[in-house]
Amino acid sequence: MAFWAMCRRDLALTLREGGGWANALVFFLLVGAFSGFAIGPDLERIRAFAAPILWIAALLACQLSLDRLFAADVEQGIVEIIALGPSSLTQFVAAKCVAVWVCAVAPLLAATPLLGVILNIAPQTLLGVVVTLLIGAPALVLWGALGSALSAGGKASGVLVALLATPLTAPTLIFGILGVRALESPGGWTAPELRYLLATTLIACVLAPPAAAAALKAQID
Amino acid sequence: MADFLNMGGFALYVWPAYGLSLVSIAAITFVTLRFRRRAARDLAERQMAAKQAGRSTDAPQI
Amino acid sequence: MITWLANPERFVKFARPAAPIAAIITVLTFIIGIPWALVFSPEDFRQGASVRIMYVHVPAAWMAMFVYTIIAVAGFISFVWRHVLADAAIRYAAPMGAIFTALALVTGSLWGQPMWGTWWAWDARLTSVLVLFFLYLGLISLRGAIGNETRAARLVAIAAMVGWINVPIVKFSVDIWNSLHQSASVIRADGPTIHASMLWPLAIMGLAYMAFFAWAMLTALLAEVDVRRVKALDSKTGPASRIRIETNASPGGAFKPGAANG
Repeated sequence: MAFWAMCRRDLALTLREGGGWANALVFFLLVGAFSGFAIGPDLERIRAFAAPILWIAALLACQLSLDRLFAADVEQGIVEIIALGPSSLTQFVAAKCVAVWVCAVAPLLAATPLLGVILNIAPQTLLGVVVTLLIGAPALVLWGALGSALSAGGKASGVLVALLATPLTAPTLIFGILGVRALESPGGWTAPELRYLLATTLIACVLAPPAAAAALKAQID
Repeated sequence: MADFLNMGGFALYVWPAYGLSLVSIAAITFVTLRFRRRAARDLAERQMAAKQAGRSTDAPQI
Repeated sequence: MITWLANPERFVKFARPAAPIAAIITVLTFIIGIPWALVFSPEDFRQGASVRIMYVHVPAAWMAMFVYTIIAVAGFISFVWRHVLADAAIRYAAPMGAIFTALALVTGSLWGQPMWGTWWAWDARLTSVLVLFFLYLGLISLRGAIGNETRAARLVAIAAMVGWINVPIVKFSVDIWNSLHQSASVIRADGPTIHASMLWPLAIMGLAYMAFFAWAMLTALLAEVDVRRVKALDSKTGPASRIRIETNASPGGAFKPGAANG
């Protein structure tokens, strides 16, 4: 119960702040569009790079939009109140991640076809990217949340969050791209890569919230 | 000797590899020794001052 | 044994004699190992003299992984028992590990260029070591970003443990990723069989690197114990000396002895 209350509070706060939730989306579109400039106007070449660009853009958007995820809660003493209360900090972290997924990742997923069209992506590949992002993006958010919790108290920057979180997302990125490739061929739905991708998300679900909660606890000690 | 330095034509690769390894190990050694010396000197200074002031020179619990 | 050594006095008792021993082993193994590697070891029938890079590359790669394991163990000890020496061990081991990892990558490149014809191959091993390098950098910058020492210790310990759990997952993922398009032209630089005439100098160089790391860690931690004693002494005598300075600045200070306890 408390979990959903925390989710609702975060959602309400993010939406009320206005604009903040759109940063990840804008960043995602920007990276995608600028990759097009970098590769050049040859549509065939862009098509070959479309899936990796979408994945990298999503990965960076998730990491860089999370740098202030816990900073305000640590400064305002919200974390302390929750640590003293009946619900655990792990729950709090999980609620934050759900809120981030709804506010930032869902719009990003919705914009993926749009960016895909710009990048001349093949329909089957686009489907693969959306499916793999659906499976893998929670891991990106969770590791980003851990990076954000670790650096919440310091004079940290978004770059530090990315530096802490990105190495942890390497398996997710690798299996995400392999999953896209698997889904391009018929019968790809049963490919082991998709199961491995799901496994990286589940590992992140198990490890990241307690670790982030321990980090938040250290921030208020 | 020239044969040795030439490394069978791979001098351009072998010597930088050994050189960089050596430089890194030397740098770690230098920094570690400097840290050790400075820490020991600082502690000796404090203990000397404490002895002159007639205070206990026991190493306090850390 | 590691928790037993967490007591600073026991640690000092152990490290004072152990550090010189490690130093002696380091010097001896380098004196034996370097000429063996550079002159007396045979050239590879396919790779020629470039195989000599192996004797600095492989030990560096071993150390890259070994040091991170040490950091993870120290992180666990630092997190669970809040031992200051365990945290200090991470603080000194992380830059050293990053240097060993960078060495492994650079010497690997220098070996790969003449052998594979490229400075970098997206080989499973290279790629996972590269991720390991970023993990080291993350630990170092995280420490740098946090002012409070106790807090930094806990946060770095958490990051170290989580990173360590991820290393095998990264290795697994890049293995699968790489196996899908293994380029056949790549000459496996380190085949499964390695002749004893190469294994011996390699083992000695490995021992040299290990002993060097042990010496550097023990020495840095001995210095850390001293630094902490200095801090403890300063916190005991600090206020008194500060009063003296205040007395010089304003005569009124001498009439407030109560301030000396502040």
